[in-house]
Amino acid sequence: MFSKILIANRGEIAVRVIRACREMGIRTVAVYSEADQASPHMWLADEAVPIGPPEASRSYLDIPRLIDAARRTGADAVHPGYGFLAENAAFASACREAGLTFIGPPAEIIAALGDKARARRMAAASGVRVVPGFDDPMADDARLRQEAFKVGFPLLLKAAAGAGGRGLRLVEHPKDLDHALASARREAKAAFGDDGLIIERLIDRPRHIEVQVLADGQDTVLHLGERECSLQRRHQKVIEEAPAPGVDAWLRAELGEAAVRVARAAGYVNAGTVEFLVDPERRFYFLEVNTRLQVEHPVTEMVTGLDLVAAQIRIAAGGPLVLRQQEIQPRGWAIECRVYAEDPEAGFAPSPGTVLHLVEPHLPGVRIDSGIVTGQHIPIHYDPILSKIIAWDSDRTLALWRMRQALRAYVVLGVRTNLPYLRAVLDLPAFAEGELSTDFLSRHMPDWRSPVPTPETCALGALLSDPAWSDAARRGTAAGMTRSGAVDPWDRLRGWRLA
Amino acid sequence: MSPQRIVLAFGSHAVPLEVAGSLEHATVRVGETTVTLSVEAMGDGTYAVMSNGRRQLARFASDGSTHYMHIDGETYVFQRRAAEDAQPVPATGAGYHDVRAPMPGVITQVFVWGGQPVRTGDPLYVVEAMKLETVIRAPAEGTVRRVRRAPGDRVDGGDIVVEVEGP
Repeated sequence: MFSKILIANRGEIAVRVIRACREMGIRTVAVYSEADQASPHMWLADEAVPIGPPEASRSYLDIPRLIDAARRTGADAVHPGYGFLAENAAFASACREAGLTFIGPPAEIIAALGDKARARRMAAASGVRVVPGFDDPMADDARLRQEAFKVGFPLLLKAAAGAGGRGLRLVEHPKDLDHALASARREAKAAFGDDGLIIERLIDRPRHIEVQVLADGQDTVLHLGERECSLQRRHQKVIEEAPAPGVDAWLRAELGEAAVRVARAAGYVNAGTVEFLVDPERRFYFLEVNTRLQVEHPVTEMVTGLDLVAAQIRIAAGGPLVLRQQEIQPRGWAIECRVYAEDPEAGFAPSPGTVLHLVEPHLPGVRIDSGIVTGQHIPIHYDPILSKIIAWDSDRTLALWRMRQALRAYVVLGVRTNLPYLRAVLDLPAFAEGELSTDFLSRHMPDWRSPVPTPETCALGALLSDPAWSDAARRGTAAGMTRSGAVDPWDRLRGWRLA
Repeated sequence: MSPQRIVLAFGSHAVPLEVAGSLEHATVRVGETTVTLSVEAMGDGTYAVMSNGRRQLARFASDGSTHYMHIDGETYVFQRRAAEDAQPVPATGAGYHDVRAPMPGVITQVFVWGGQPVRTGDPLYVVEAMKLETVIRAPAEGTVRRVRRAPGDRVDGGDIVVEVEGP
């Protein structure tokens, strides 16, 4: 087993990986950019190494700096988290060359599956249906234009090297194709350093369902059931759950087998996710493989009782999977909401700022994976995810009630967040009914506006925002006065000490 | 003390109010409704609110210009201003639009130049923040009067990037 792991990431996922390492008795090294000098991930790790300026390209994406940080601190393995270099084959091989274990699949597998065109062909060859489209990422714009007309509109342009919605464009009409090609290429180039694009026909009102797999590289490949990830906004997942509503044991087994088949065909090792689109007739199509830990991995952990980060670490250390497929039975229902620093009333514009006040909901059955603390500045340089709320209960209805409660009790002041939007989604009857598809949010939440405040709320806002408040008055009764005006005896114990 | 007339802007929803009294006993007129309430600071950004015979816990924080409040499971974000300047006067009359950056970020593309006619919805420029590109479009038909920023420029939320003048 490893003695020290460097976490090449930031925010909630770095915190999550640090927690798993702690539980396994492994020391941790955090890295932080100049924009993250007060971020919790760097304080929670056993040690932290500064890796450069705020720009990700010169810090969290700077491979030589990260390798150097691992060498200097004596780390023997590197966990990439998600995003940044998590699916970067060059980083995985740089780790290997430096004598570090990359916690994820080998570089060759990342490269093969990260190439969406190759992954599509691999899945098709293993007998799994793929979305109709065109998959030569070397094709130039002229060729793509030509193929786009063969595939037909509406279609999706996708970054061949991409994930997470970057470099992805929905093209509904031929007249929008040129602009979409240019902007998808530019975004893909900026995000992945590669502007190759593929084309896929748009499946009408699909659900996005993915299957978690674990492979130990020693001939055991398991699937951990599916996750429902249809609630997306601009191709960014917002709410995920496990299991998926309406997926029965038969479809679950079919999806699981298909995922295992793709993983075996790829020679997959470590934790990965096979994504599918499921059409209204419940036909499913292979979409892509994510060769890393997913943001939404906690919902699988909640229903299987397995720790996926710990599993990743054990597999990377050469440990065989001792589980058998029939031992993995989802129990209960888990749902996750992603909390983003964004303004749902201004087109979900990123909303950087300083967290002035933070209260996390500590409730039974609720897990918070957070990367923020009070006083922390949320920089503009990175993904706007702040934290994730995961609620579990014995069935979907109860899990949703727990989530509603957690969303109401979660207080983040100082930056605009999507919490009010999430509260509104959870209150939608259609959501409770589980009639999900990837256009759910655009259909049910178009032009969402925050609730109009009541006169009482407005009046309170007027009083609380009054500039006449002094700092001392704002500190109020904390200095020893209770509401009734009585003095709290504990506050009079000055100069005393409890022995 | 004569009532204080203020406007709270909850996004695009502006609420004029008249506030009288003290924090211990305030009377606030909100449109046709009059609310009496008292507020007491509990420290650490928490406040006890008495209104309508019930007590609730509120949380409040402010960065100076934007105020954040949480009460009864909901979060409210608003700006406050005196009622006198409630009606913003356009810089050079109607038909004039400052197209401001909606967020801090970096300008990655500018599609227009001074003197160019634009129609409502035409893309003007692209701002990238938190890895996301946002296309900013013309708010109205008119002529681009001035382009103030160039690709590569860093902008703050609210910075004027393009000025559009009506037909």
